[in-house]
Amino acid sequence: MQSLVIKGILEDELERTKRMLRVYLKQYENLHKGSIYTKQVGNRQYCYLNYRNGDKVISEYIGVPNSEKVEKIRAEISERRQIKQTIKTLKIEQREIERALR
Amino acid sequence: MIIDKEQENAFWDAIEAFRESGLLNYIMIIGSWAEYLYTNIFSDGYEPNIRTRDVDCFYPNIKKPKTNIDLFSALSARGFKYDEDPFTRVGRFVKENLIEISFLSRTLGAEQNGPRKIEALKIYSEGLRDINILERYPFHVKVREYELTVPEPAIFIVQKLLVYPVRQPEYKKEKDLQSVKELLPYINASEEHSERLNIIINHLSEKEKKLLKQVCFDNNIV
Repeated sequence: MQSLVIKGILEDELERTKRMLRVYLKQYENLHKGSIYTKQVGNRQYCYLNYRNGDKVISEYIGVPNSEKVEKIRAEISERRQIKQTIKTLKIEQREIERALR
Repeated sequence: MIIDKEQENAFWDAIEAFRESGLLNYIMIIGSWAEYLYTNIFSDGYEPNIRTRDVDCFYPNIKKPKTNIDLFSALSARGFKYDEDPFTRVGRFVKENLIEISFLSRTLGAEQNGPRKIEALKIYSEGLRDINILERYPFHVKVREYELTVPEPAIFIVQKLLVYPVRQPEYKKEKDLQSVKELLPYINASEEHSERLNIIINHLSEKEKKLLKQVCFDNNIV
C-alpha cells in the first residue's frame, strides 16, 4: 500500500514537473538572449546586444546606457539565465522521477 | 516532516504576496500544507510525513471581494510565474521547481465540478464539491506574523474519511488514510480538538455518520 502511495505521488509530481517545465520553457523563449556590450564613440556611449543566431553573431544597437530599453533587456538577460538554471534543475528532477517510476 | 528550506521560503513568499495583495483573508490553506501549518497547533511532536509541491488554496466565496486583487503583481515580484491550462483555463502560479499554487472553489447545488472564475483575481479555480464542508469549520492559526486560515484539524480528518469511498485516484485514498492516522492521535490528545471532533461528528447527517463509522471500521480507525 505504501508503494502505491509513493508511486501515485511520484506520478503527480512528474506531471507537475512537466507543467513547471512548460511554463519556464515558454518564458525562456520569450526573453532576450545574449549579452550587452557598451561601445564608446568620442565622448558618447552606445549599447549593443550581442547574440548568436545559428552560425552568426548579431550585434544589435539597443540604445544609450541606462535607457529604459537597455535596462529592460538587461533585466531579461538576467532573468533568462536564472530560468535556464531552473529548467536544468527541473529536467534533472524529471529524469529522477521517471527513473524512480520504472 | 522534512521540509526543504527553499521550498518553505517559497511558501512564505507566497503568503506574504497574499497578505500584500489583500487575498489572505479570503482563502483557506488546505491539503498537505495545512498539515504543515498544524505543526504549529500540535507542538508536541506532530510531524506529517507526506508533503507535495502543490499548495492548495480553497476560495470559499468566489464572488468576494467586489474589488480586484492584484495577485499577479505581488507574486510576479517574488519570482512566481503564471500558467493556465489551455483547455480548462484553470490558473496556477509556480515558483521554480519549488511550489505550485492552485485555487479550489466550492461546487453548489446542481453545478458540476469544473472551472469557476474567481472574479477578484480574474483567474479560474477548480470547483470541487468534496471540499464544501471545510468552509463551515475554519480555524485561524498564527504563524510568523500571519494569521492563516486552515480547516479545523477535526474537520480535516472527517472530510477525508467522508470522501474516502469515492476518492480518486486510488493512491490518494491511502495517502488520506495515512494523514488521518497521523493526525488523529494528536486530536484525541487535545481536549479542545477532541471536543470539536465530537461536535462536528454530531452535526453530520445520519447518512454521513453511518458512512464515517463504516470507513473507520473498515480501516481500523478508532
